[in-house]
Amino acid sequence: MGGPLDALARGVPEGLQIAVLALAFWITYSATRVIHLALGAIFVIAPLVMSLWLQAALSTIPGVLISMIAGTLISLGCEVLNHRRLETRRASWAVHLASSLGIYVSLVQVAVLVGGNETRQLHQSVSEGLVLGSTVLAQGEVMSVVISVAVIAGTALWLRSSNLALRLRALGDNSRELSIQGLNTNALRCWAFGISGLLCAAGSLTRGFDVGTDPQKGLVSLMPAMVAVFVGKDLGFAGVIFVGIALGVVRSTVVLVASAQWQEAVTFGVLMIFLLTRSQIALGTSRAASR
Amino acid sequence: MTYAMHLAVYFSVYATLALSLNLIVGYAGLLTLAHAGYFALGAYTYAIASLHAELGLGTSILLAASVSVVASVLLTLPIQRLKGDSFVLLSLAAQIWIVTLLQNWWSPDAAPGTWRNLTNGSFGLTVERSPSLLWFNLDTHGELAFVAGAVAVAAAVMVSRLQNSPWGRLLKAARDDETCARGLGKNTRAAQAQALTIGCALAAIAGTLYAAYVGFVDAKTASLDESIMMLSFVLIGGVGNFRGPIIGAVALLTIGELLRLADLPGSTVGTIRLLAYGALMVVMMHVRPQGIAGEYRFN
Repeated sequence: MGGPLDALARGVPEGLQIAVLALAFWITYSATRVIHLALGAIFVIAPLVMSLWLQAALSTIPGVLISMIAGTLISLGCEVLNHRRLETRRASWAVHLASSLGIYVSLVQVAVLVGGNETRQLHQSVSEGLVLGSTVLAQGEVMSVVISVAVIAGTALWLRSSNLALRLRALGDNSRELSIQGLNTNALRCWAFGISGLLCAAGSLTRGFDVGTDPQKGLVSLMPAMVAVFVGKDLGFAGVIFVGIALGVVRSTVVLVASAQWQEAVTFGVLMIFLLTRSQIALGTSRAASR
Repeated sequence: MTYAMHLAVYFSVYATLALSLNLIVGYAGLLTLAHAGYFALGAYTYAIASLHAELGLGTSILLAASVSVVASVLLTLPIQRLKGDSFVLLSLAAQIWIVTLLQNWWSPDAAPGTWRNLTNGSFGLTVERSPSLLWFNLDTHGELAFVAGAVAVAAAVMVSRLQNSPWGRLLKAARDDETCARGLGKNTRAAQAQALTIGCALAAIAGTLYAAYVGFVDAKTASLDESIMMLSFVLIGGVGNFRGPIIGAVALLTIGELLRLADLPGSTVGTIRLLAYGALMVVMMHVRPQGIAGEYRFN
């Protein structure tokens, strides 16, 4: 135990979870330029809904659906009640960011009042799932990998084949021209926020079934995803996914080499190295430099 | 009377903190999430100094400000390249690095405050002796409230004078139209870096007073939640002038104290307080983006 294979076996599941959250963050950011920090609250609330559902001894599948619908509706609410109104007044990115931070803080406290402060583990069993050499993956980890891969593949398919995805990209490039062309940009923004909420809820549930979610760590859990987006966004979908998975492997290596408490510091170290040197490195060089 | 003095200490500490953040957010126009980190650096510096040496509060304040100025390099060096949302990420990174350092610079085999166990990890550091200033021991809440109040007034006078100085006008020009200010030959990045350095030093001074009063400091002092709470002081009170942050500190501390009057468990009061801060931040961004008494709109 403790070798590169172990880091890979532990890192890839975590990286896939980061990639799913990064997709959620990226869709809103690329389409609307809003730093949707309230996703941190969805990350807390979706597992809470699922946990309350399971406590009521109801079946899992409807619970998953309801949690994902809750995540989608909260994200839509953020757009309709907050960001759209601010956008109408041509508010700056900082106002959007501060209001999103306020929504995050408020919603997390509501979740704490409803469900308490303890970590929520949605999958109690620690039964063996898969053995990879000297590494044993628990059932929750295997399930998380399968669900994350399915979500990423589904999103990739949607991005390649759907007209809506094309319009969302256009919204990010030039929303005014899109509006002049007669497209309903408000509806497109709603789609971006809705899909983002859905993906975040999916990501949080996979985390909840794997290692559990802490209500006070919504934003902290979103941070690696933000880092993946800011580092990988110039390469689009593939870049975000690749950086997300790579961050997972780096973070698991940090756990093996040092301790879990250094994970966030290393993650942000990666981001800073990228931000300070991005015009000189390969990842998205030409476009980043020209901007 | 003791309760009033307790409130006076808290108000003075948070007013100093809000004024320091106003310098960065309101005048330099840089949204930072690292302020709790610098506040905690000041608190830890005082705690460590009091464990080893019979340093007075004045010397500790100078030491804390120096440590914070050195640590502010994390923000000031990259400012040449990073603006806007990239700077927010940088500040988030600085905050994470400071918290990580405070949590991990410890060893179970060494005494707290020694080189190997500087911060005592998640157990935090306890300050056992009462603070002293020159030849006086600050044993009562009233004495410490007086000193904290004097520091807050000094910070307010300093910020007020900076605001009306050529340097203050350069900062505002850089905030409102950096390209124009640079076109006129002004070194805007240097001015912003100076504002960051002074803001971080003031935050550390507030942290020193906080540790001297509370007598305990742990890594939670530097948490992201604390940074968000500090940001809410200036966003709600208003930025870009001298009144806004003070009004914000008073308003938010009053909400916290009023909630304590309700017959609720302490943890629930804390939760509702944060809920109110978050909701107020959202409302202010819609109703008055410049805050209750601020001058500068983020727009």
